[in-house]
Amino acid sequence: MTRLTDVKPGKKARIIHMGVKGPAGRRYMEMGVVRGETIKVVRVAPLGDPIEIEVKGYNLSLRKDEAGLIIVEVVK
Amino acid sequence: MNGKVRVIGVYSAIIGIAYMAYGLIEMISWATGAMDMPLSPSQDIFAGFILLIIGSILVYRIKALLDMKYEGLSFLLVGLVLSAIIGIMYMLIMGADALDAAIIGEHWEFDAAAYNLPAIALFILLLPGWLIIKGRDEFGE
Amino acid sequence: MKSKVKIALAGNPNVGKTVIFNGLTGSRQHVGNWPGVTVEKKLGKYTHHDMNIEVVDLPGTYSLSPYSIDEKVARDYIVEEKPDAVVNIVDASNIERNLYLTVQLLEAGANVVVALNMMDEAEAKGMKIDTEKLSEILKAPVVPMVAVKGIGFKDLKDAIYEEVKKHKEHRHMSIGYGREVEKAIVSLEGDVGKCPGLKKYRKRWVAIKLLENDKEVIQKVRDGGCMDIIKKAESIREDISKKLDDPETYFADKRYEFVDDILGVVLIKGKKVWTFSDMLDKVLTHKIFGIPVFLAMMWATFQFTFSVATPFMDAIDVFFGWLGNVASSNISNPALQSLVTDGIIGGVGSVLIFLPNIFLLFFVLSLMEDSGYLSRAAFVMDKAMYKIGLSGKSFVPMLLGFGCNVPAIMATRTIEDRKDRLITILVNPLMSCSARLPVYILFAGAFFIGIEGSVIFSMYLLGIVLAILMSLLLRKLFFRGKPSPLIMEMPPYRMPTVKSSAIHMWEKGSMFLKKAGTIIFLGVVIIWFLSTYPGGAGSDIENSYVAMLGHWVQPIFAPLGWDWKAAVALVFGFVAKEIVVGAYGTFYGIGDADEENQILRGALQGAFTPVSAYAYMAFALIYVPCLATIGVIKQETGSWKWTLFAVAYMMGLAYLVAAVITAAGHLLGFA
Repeated sequence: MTRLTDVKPGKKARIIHMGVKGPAGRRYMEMGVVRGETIKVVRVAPLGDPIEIEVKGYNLSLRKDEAGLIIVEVVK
Repeated sequence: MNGKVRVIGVYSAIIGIAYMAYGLIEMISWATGAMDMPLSPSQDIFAGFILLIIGSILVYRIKALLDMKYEGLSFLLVGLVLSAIIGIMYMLIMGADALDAAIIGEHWEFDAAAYNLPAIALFILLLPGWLIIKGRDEFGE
Repeated sequence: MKSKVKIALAGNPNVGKTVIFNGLTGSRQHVGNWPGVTVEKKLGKYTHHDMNIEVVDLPGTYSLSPYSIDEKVARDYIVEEKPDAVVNIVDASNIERNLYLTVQLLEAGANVVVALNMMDEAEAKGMKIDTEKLSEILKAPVVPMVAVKGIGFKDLKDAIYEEVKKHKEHRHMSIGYGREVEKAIVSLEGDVGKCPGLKKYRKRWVAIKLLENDKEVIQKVRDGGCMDIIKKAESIREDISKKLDDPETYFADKRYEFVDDILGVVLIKGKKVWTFSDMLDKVLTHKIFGIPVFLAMMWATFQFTFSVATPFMDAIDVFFGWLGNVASSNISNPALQSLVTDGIIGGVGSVLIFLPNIFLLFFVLSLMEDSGYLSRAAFVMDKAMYKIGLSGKSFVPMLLGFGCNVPAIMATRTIEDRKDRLITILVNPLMSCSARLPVYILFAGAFFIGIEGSVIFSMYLLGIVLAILMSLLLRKLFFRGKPSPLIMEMPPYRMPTVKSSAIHMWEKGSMFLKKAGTIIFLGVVIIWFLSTYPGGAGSDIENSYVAMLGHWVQPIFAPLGWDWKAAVALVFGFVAKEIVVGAYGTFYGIGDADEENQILRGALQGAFTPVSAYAYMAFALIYVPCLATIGVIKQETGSWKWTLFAVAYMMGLAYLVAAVITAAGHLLGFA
């Protein structure tokens, strides 16, 4: 069980469980972060948080508090 | 293209070192007071800091640049952009000052320290670096 | 025969909507507010063939769910006002996410014209889009455009014209949601059709929204009096939950599936190559260089704005001086002359003199916003800001406060969350703006010779510390909870055009003048009145209401060691902080005093001690935002309650801090 926040920059991962609920979760879905989607972790901010991911062809920053609730499977 | 990159690349690294050196001089002159130097430093610690940063960026990944890697090119690009922003900023400040003198009817004098002539000079000297950017398609991962 | 047509522009943020809006309407624009909310409403007009078209620029939204004010406003306009056409601006280089909104617009029953913008960027990425096929599938016209280069506008106008002409309930595209759910939708549709209160909405859309548990639509149905539909939808929803998935997730997934299917047919993806954006971000968000470069950019901003503003400020000074002379030589009635010359021209002039600074800060802010750098600044500083109860998006507005609080507070528009935004606004005036500097210089030069720089720096530091403390305190007291989650798009860097940044600068600046202008004008006149009467024009300042006020209030300030003149100067500072210096000049009979004036400094040394002077400086930092800032706070919060709260808490805080400084100073043995 890998959390999105444990994926190293440069690696891709497929979302197995979208654990973010409530208004934030809704927003995540609208932005394309849905179960089954393959995303790429681009980088981590200089201070350690937030992270930047590539999803549906564009870049999105997310805080580890929420992003850590997303369970993924790293892909090659 | 490779040869061109090598020449201009090394050149930009040298200018980068000049940026760093000058940045340090300016920061030191803030602490110690005006120094008698050909291009009088502005004694502005922040200006010195920025020049130091620009220089560091130009020098940091020089090897990647000479190896025709995109990462190296990134640093050159940002170095060029920052150099331009700062250089043009000082030129605009100079112009604004001259305009101001005209408006309030004072005699305008070119103050090398206040307009950071070294920063402007280094910006102009670094311009050839843009030639490498033009040939960016030749770069690889 | 000319007909009046209404269209709306809708799309994600950062897709060039504003460019297209400007391209269509030119200078025929008007900015206002959506009723009841602090969301900007932009209206414009243009004419094409025999049609007069009114254009509404809807707020940029990622979706049409009603969970943020922007989205509510956009959706309500489309579904309630039913514009003749909705121009959906889509970023071609980001087409996958953009189409999510498109399908929602079509589902809501809008007559959509897709403006497929940024085709050049898509091409640069190696993407190929079959726009004709896309148009077929969506059953809506698709117009490829490169708006910044002016390409595609004619085709867009033609497409809009055609679409409006065809105006009838035309063949809307529908997404298939799977057999089970489709049965439910059709069944609900039937009921919706029978409900008279829901006549204006597309039946299928209402049905789907009900199944998605959309609170706003449920309310609309309730208002329409058809309660049983709600119950029915509820039970179907539970059904879906058990058999398939959480309904909201289910529908979102299906929509994305649909978009993917479309793109499978319509899009040929490009290969991944380093773009300028990738290269810039490598360094600008770098572990080591990211933050230093950002701080350097902010420093450069202040250097630039302050220096380049100076000639314009002097020009305004000269102009108002001339204007004052013209007024005084042409008005004979001494009272009127005083009102116009000293009151209006003098007062307004002293506020307007900061206009170049304000405008230039808006300009730089626009450059940062349009280029995409602003989101990087937020990204890089977010963690630090989170610790003090704010988000990364608050950082630039806070920093801008060092230049001037007016553009700083207006810059908080990028903060979507109402609580986060409110705290940022309330705390912003504690960032020591450049107008307070003359006061510091005056007092530091008089009492802290040799260490002026450090003393002034300590003022800035004090402001920052107080801002952090107040932010944490406000969180605990009034805005419980954590900052709103950061879910922020990082658009590709784009070259901002000087023209568009200048337009933004002008828009924001003019808005400020219009909104804050009244408050400034009134404030200035009131202060003039209080300082001229009852003595009358030309009389000594001692014979004025202000002086009376100062004497009356003096006992409050006595423990701090300040005399009535100090109190009065603060009242003047209410208008604009730098007036405090001028006020002192007047008290001591020094004509054109500025902060470097030695005589003035000498005079002050008789009235203050180092401790009371330092306390005074701190008070000047904190006590109240200037009129212009107060005006902007009202404008951006939309509430007198919070504006007055800001004024009140700052006065209280100022007194408290000054008292603490005085007590500490005495305790440590200073005079």
